[in-house]
Amino acid sequence: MKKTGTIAVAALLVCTLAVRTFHAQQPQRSSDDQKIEELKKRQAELKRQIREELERQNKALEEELSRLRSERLSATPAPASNPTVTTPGSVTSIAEPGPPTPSLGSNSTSSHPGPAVTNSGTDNTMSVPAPVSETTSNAMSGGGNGSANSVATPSAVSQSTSCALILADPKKFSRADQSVCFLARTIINRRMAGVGSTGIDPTTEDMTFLLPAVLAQIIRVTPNLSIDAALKSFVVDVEASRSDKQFGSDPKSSGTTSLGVKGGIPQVLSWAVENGGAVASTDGTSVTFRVNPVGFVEALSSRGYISAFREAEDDALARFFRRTSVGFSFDTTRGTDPPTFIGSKQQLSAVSFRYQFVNQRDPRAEAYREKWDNFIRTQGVALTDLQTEELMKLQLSTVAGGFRNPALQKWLDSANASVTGTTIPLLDKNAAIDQLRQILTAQLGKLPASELEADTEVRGALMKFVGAYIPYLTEKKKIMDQIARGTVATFEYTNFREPNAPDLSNLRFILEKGTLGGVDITANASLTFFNKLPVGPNIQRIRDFDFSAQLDKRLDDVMGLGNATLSFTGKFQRLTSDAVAFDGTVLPNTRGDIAAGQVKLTIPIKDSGIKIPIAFTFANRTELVREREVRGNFGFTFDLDTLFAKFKSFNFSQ
Amino acid sequence: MKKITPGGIAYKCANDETVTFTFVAHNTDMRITYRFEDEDTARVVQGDSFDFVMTESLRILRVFFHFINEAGTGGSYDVTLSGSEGGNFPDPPPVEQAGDFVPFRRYVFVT
Repeated sequence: MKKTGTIAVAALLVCTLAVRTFHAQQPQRSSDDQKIEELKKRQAELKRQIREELERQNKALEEELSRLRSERLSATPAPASNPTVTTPGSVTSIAEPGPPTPSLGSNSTSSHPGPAVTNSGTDNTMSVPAPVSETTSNAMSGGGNGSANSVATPSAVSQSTSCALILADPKKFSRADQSVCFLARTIINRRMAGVGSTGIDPTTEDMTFLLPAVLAQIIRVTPNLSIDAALKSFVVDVEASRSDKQFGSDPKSSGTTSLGVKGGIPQVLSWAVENGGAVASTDGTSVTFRVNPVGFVEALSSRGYISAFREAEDDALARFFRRTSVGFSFDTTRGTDPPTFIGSKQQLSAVSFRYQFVNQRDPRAEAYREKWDNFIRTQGVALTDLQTEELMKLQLSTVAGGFRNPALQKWLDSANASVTGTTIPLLDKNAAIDQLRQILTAQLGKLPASELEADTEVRGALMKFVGAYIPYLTEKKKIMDQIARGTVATFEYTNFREPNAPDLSNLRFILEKGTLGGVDITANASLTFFNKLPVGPNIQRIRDFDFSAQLDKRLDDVMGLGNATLSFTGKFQRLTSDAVAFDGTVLPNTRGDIAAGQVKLTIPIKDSGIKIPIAFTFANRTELVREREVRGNFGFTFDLDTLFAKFKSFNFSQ
Repeated sequence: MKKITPGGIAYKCANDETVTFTFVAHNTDMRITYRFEDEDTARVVQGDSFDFVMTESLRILRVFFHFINEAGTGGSYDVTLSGSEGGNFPDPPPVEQAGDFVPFRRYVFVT
């Protein structure tokens, strides 16, 4: 008893000491926390001071550079016009400002101060450093030599949005944003190739992008600008895929997100991973590869995609094989635990052959050649005429082709001084384009927008030049829409390989048609029969037949990933024989009708060719169980056509 | 024909020399139009080339490159100029597809 009391006292003492120690440490910890906080504050303050000092120094440097450039420009005798060829056989470089020379152009009476377009050949680096961040910040704050109006943020899209993103999917960005990125890309392309001007060159395709960018800037800084609403929308608004390819497996497969089957085939290769059966007798994960043999061989060879397509159109045998695809589905639950795709013969659950005997949806098809011929003869020529006429109003008819408007030419010279005077490392093309985009955006912020807006000829020419795209693209879209509504008819044979049950054969006819409302209608009719008749009382050679109808509606891109597709499918299936389980057992009283419906959302991931289908299926029963069933399925499909179309070099003349 | 500017935008030709433009299309149906400043209307390139004879002392030409493909990106054109009196001038870099824009290049020819 005494021992117990001693232990209790000792325990009490230990507890007391522990509590005291804990309380004693609290002020110590609190003190440490305060010190840490204090140090953090001091560190933040130090960082702020360093940043401010660097920014101050940087600004001073930029001001000094601007001053020196201005002095140099003002000290240089301005040429009377663009330097041009003086006498037959002689050459006058347009790279450097020179003494006034007579122009060959009949209307080259205007002059512009400063040097003409600088052309420093392969010089990819700067001669004078000009920090990009400072240049940009000056523009944003309305600094520099721009007009008082030029204080608006030149781009609607954050500079953090990489041009790579804009160039990969231009339709998701305004043409104002596109134009600056395309201009930057063109200049960087020349620098990387070591040819042509390192700045904005009005004799190249630079003008294609510069003029919309200039108009966009005028629109931004002139809220009351009198401009056609459609044209304004075309410039500053964001523009608002085929869904007909069946990448995944047949609805009879153990893992599929599809209740109906689409008729499109890949031009090269697609693969899909899907989990969860629709109303099939098994429920698992399937991996499906579908390959177009001709497209695949050609894609691996050096021949071009477009050229190969056209050539194949002229050859009956090649045409037949091009319209075929072969699919291989693997059930990943077979022979592995946990389920793993190993591509073994045991896992091969289905082999299919598909022939697309009607395809009116490929813009490259011979059937559309005449439409494109007419389009170019009318809209292409009209665009060329209209833009040329406006360009003649804007540009001098001289070799250098400078702007007639002195303010615009002065701005171009100044912008080019900044563009050509900046080091841009070319190792990373995307980074180089982004860096140049920042400079161009900053320079557009210095555009003498009010002066240009006041010049009715310049303003009118810019609007007509850009506006020429509207009828051109409207007609082009009409043709593309018509192509998208074309009919696709496909026949498919699939052999389902069962490990213990008899193999099945399925014949399927698929018909698709687009509608005016952008809804794709697909109808399926299929018949399935046993390759070898199993033993059982209610077994017939024909196992089942089914009909299905599917509506696909492409949705607006609300998530910035691309246009998702929403699908509704209804299916009726009559099982004329009792079902056979995966172990070969005939399940009695399983004959009957199955009615099923499905809602499916297919989400694309940008232009990557990747799509994620998510589906919910409702059925009155499954093949094996006479009970209502609700299933969820998801998957992952990949269409290599998208990548091949983008990255493979396709040579028409080969 | 001789190139008289480093950037390749101006060429000196002999009188009555035939100048030929040749194009190679990548990942696009070949659709090109062009117009001289001294003419009233544009023309469509038939096939993969076109030519003209230098009968004037100065001709300014703009060539427009249209893109027809399914992807909407990734198309490009290679351009090469040649003269009947000699001279073969590739005009790199290729003209790249740029969304809905129709890129054009400007060329000046003098005798």
